[in-house]
Amino acid sequence: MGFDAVRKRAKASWDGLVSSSIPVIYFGAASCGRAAGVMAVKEAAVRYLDRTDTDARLVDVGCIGPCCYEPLVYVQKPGRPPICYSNMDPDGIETLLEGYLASDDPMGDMALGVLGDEAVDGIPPLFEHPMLAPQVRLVLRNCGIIDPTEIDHSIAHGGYEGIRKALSMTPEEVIEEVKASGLRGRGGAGFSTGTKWAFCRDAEGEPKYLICNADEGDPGAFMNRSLLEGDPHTVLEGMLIAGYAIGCRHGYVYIRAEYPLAIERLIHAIEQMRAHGLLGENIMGSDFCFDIEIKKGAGAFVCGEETALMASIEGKRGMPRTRPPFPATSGVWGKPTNINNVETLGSLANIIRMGAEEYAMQGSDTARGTKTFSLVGKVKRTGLIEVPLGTPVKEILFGIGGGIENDRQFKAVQTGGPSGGCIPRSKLDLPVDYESLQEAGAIMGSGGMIVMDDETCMVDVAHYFLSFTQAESCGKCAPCRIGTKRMLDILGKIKDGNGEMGDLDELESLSWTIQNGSLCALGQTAPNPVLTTLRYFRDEFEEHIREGRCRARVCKPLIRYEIVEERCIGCGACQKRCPVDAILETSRPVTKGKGKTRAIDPKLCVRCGICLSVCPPSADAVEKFSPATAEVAGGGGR
Amino acid sequence: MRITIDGAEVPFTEGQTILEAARDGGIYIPTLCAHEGLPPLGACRLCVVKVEGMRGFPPACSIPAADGMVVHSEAEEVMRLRRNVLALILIEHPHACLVCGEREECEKLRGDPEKAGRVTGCSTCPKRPTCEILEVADYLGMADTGIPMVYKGLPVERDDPFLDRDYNLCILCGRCVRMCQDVQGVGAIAFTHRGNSTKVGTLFGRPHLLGPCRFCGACIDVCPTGALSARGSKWHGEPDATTASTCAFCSLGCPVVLEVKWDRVMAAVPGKQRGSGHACACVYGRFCIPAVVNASNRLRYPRIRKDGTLAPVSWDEAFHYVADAFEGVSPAETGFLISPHVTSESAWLIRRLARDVVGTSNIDVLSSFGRAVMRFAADVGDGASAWAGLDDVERADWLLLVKDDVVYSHPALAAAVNCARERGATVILVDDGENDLATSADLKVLIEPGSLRAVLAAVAKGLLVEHGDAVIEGIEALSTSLEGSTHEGAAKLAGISVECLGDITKTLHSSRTGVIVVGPRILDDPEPDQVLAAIRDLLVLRGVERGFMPLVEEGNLRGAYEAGGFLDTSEGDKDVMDALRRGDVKVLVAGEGSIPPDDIPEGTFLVISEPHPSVLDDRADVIFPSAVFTEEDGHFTSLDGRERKLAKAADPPGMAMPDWMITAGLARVMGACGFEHGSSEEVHREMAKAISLFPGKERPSFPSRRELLPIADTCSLHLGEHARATMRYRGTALHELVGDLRIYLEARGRIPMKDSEGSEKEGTR
Repeated sequence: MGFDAVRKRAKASWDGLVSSSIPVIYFGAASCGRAAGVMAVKEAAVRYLDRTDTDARLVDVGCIGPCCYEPLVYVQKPGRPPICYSNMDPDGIETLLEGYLASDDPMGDMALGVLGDEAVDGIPPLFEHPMLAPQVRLVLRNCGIIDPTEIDHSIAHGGYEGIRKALSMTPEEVIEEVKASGLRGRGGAGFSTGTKWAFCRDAEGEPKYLICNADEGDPGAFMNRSLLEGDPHTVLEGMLIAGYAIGCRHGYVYIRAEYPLAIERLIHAIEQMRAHGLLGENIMGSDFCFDIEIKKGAGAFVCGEETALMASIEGKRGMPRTRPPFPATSGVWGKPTNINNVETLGSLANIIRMGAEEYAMQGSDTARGTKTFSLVGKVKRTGLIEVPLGTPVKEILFGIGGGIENDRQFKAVQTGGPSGGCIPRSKLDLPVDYESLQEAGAIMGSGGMIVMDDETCMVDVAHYFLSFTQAESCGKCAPCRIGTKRMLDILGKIKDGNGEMGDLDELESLSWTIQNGSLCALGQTAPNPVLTTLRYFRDEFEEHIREGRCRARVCKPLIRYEIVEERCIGCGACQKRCPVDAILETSRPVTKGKGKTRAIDPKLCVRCGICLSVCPPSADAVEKFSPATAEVAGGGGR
Repeated sequence: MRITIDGAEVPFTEGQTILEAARDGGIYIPTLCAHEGLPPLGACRLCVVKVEGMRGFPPACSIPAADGMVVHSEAEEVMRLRRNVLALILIEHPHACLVCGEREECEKLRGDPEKAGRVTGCSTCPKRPTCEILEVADYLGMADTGIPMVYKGLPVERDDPFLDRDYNLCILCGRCVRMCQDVQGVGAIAFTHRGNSTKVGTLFGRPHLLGPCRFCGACIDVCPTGALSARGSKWHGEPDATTASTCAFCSLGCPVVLEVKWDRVMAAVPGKQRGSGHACACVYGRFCIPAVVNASNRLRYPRIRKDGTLAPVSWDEAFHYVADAFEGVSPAETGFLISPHVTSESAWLIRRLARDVVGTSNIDVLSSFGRAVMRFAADVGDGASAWAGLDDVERADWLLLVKDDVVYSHPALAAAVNCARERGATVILVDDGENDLATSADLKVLIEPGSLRAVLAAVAKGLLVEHGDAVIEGIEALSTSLEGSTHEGAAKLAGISVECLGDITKTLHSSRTGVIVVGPRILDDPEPDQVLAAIRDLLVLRGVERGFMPLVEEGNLRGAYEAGGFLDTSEGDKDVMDALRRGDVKVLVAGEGSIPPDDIPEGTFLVISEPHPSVLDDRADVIFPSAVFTEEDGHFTSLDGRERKLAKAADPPGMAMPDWMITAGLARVMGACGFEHGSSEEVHREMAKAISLFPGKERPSFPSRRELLPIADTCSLHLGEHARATMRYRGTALHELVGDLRIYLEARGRIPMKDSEGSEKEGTR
């Protein structure tokens, strides 16, 4: 069967779904949706349909992005576009189905938006939602829309048109096209993808290997997972295009074992490709032969580093090695190897299909195209987003993200995970692209964005990220293995209120040594979170050291809890729950009602914060202060 | 091609790194993880340099030198980075030495840590005399790091024989790991854990005795700190003297450096192997030499049997006692059995004593497998050029290992097999039972017992077919038994697949550069000479040059034969052992006590020359205390026909003497002339002149076939349980003298566990 026939059949399959004569219920069932409980919602829906003997099709789709609204459920009635409903729970779905399917009330107050261009019953289109409206969805265009287990859905949405077009070009033309698109590595370093391919294509040695790096390990980053779960074919098609351009026959997907659903989706997708003649010998009737193998990582962050990743594929301990030789000349099994990130590969089909020129219209001068980010932390709307490169930080945080949670003060946003850095309020206008972020001391990284408010202690943030890199160091080279430990010890000392001003100099000196002395990028970038926090928030470090004060009231040894006597209602909830019996009844009566006030013995208090959390909101009598002793700063923050 | 380092132009050859070019050019670049013979790791970051046109601070150990490259090794920021990195390393490495107030005093006594310990009250590190960190710290001008040390507090790992492992001193340079994995091919250790908890560890953290470790000690020899040490010699400090010599235990003849302290050989470390880059280390040569040569039971005085007991006497009295015994019998009633562990010089003089003075041709070398292969080799090509050495194994394209015990009989060969494999050689292992080298084989062929001949013949037949009409020299010599041989028949008999035989044939056909390694266990086969005949066919078909490696165990077997210990059948000589059993030998002179006592009839006058007591001592009339190989100058001929020098490192104990001196002394007392040699060198010159064997000749002449007995006869020389032999020296099993070796071999099932009463040991003393 030729590809035209395949596409025709695929279109028919998709059209059959869209114009279904019975209702179709779509569930946002990527890992994020499942964590939010969508499977229980689905079970409730099945129960409801069984009980009411209602005919409906149930379809699992990936994540469309707004994780904060999950579980997401879309209900499509014959003749109408799907309507997206947010924050579903098992009771909610019954109400919804009862209302919409049985009574034909689209339940507008539960709806987030309509998956279509027109409003339905006053429910606006989903893509006009403030979180989605500013986004440009190229890589993610199918995520949350199609069933990722159906290759026909992908093909019906233009899937494998890219490789079809590529096969009509010479490999050199494909490389030129990718160069012209301005695509740069989405894994963080931002090297020109076309140029990288050319190195590998020109390298001597056979066979050549292509690796898809899906070892996404940054804390708070889930772009790759979501893409692989929602639309694996886009990435796999990208591998075909890259394999054709470079001259590889064999591709690996190196994916962390902690992504079981993504792995399942990939295995399934690869089987389907094979069944459709899109993998194996003579793909689409051409001379191009290509196969893909999945390699699971064993949970080491450092295996995202390309040389460690290749060692891991070879069955060795994942430890980076010195370059040169670069993978392009001597990579996995000592052969020329090209490694691209999931998102880089996921961008290729669009580039070839749309043409480099059209693709390059998105983005800024130095960074073309779009980039996905996982927007998390203290922001109102969290989730997976895709924006043109060069979009200002402010627009992402306050436009798409809707501003800071609980309308607190914005303090900083961490990009690039543990290898990146913090961008402070003063840099909010910064366009998000490779060079601007680097200049600010951060990096683009693979796309994690962690938003922090004024309740975040920057010393603690530095400590957190460094503890991550320190634990994930492979232990090979001395600066990374020992240096990050030393830095971590110093940060711990400062957090404990035992810091000295000399410590800051030592941190900077150690950072220089680790950046310049480490073997791989993990070590070379490990000091970034410390250096950026020192650069933009030095006053917080100094406060910890000089005043013993943590203004965010996070560092336990520097805080104290007090019960405000005038507000205490004498309920004794705090006293009952205190794990160390540090709360005592005083002899003083409460101002309103009966009973005696309570007081905290600071010598016994372990600053667990339970008293604060159990104090009735109506009273709100427990307060947190820093520094730990009221005398030091003349009465503390009361 | 040249590079410039700190302004100095240094030449280099293709493939060299900056560090190698610098070292060859006499420029010091500090490093703690790079080591000759090991692949670069780039872990310690002390060799960082500035290279014009390159970003950052690349490590000199990993960056290939390029013509015109400009390197700055002593630029201020390079030195600063190195100092900072070393300061970090020292956080985790106890370094009180660096700042110790007594350092100057200590420096004077560094060679003698025990003494220094008494002076300074410090004896924490066994590596002080050769600490590489001190060297680097001095170069970088490090005194105090200013950072508090973090002692890891790990328990010292002492639950294995031979080795102590104190990972509190480890700086994770990874030399031991690379040595074990990349050079030795064992992989008994690896990096474990991650981050700051990274350490070097064993398989599942268990003792080496339960893992694949072969106790070659190569890890110790590359450790830059005191983390890995040899328990037996770690506190000896620097030796008073070192002597380059040859290890005499097995027939590979590996170079060894003997370390002498307090006039004794206290340690032995591997010397540099000729040809190959790395030193060969094995459990015997690395750990057993001191215990064997300094054994408390060494024989010190000549003794003769008086009133039923052996009484110490002077050499003169002992010689006269033996001379008198010879007086009473005819030459045909005497016999000489040479130890394959004596020097070629000693073998030569024993030959002269037997043939020229006593007038007998009843003389032979004590080795059953040795005799079989000597006879066999004489049958292949010109006899001398078939034998392969370690270097031939290392550059082979394929290796066919037949019923070998390489891991225990010739451990250094196991490493060479790995080198060959790393280089791309195909390793085929054919055995009818367990084989500890199986993990290193590409093709493991487990055959039914008794089917070895059929398998080898089928491969030979396959090669013959592959050859087609091509002219092969010596093809007419091919055994006629190949006629009926088929892959199908052999596969069925051996219980293997026809494809497997095809694979072996294909591999052997692919290249003429291969080596067939044959272990002594082929003598277990019902038809050992048929097996050897099939091997000969393979050799003929593949070209016999340096393609044959029989795993003869005894160090100087070849030298002992060549110097004159073989039988000349043309003159109607008898097998000495047969004659002995029949009671035809009245006076027997033996070089070791390994002859089964039952083979010696009552009333035989028995003279034994040996360094350690043996089971035969109860039967002996005279015992000559002989020197061991560390106590005399002389020569050995290793398996591959190369003459190796032995050098005297220490004096023999008591009145013990080298065998050539004993033989000469006896001959003089018997009134013979021409035994007045003043040194072994004189004996060597005489021997060389007489049989034009040695000096300058890589490949000495070789006994012709007619000079050797047929194999069937040699089986009568079978010396007990030779099939699973353990390493012996002058007839004494090494594990009888080296307790730690006993623990190792027991754990591997090579020797039976000794019961609590020690009955296994009984009878050997």
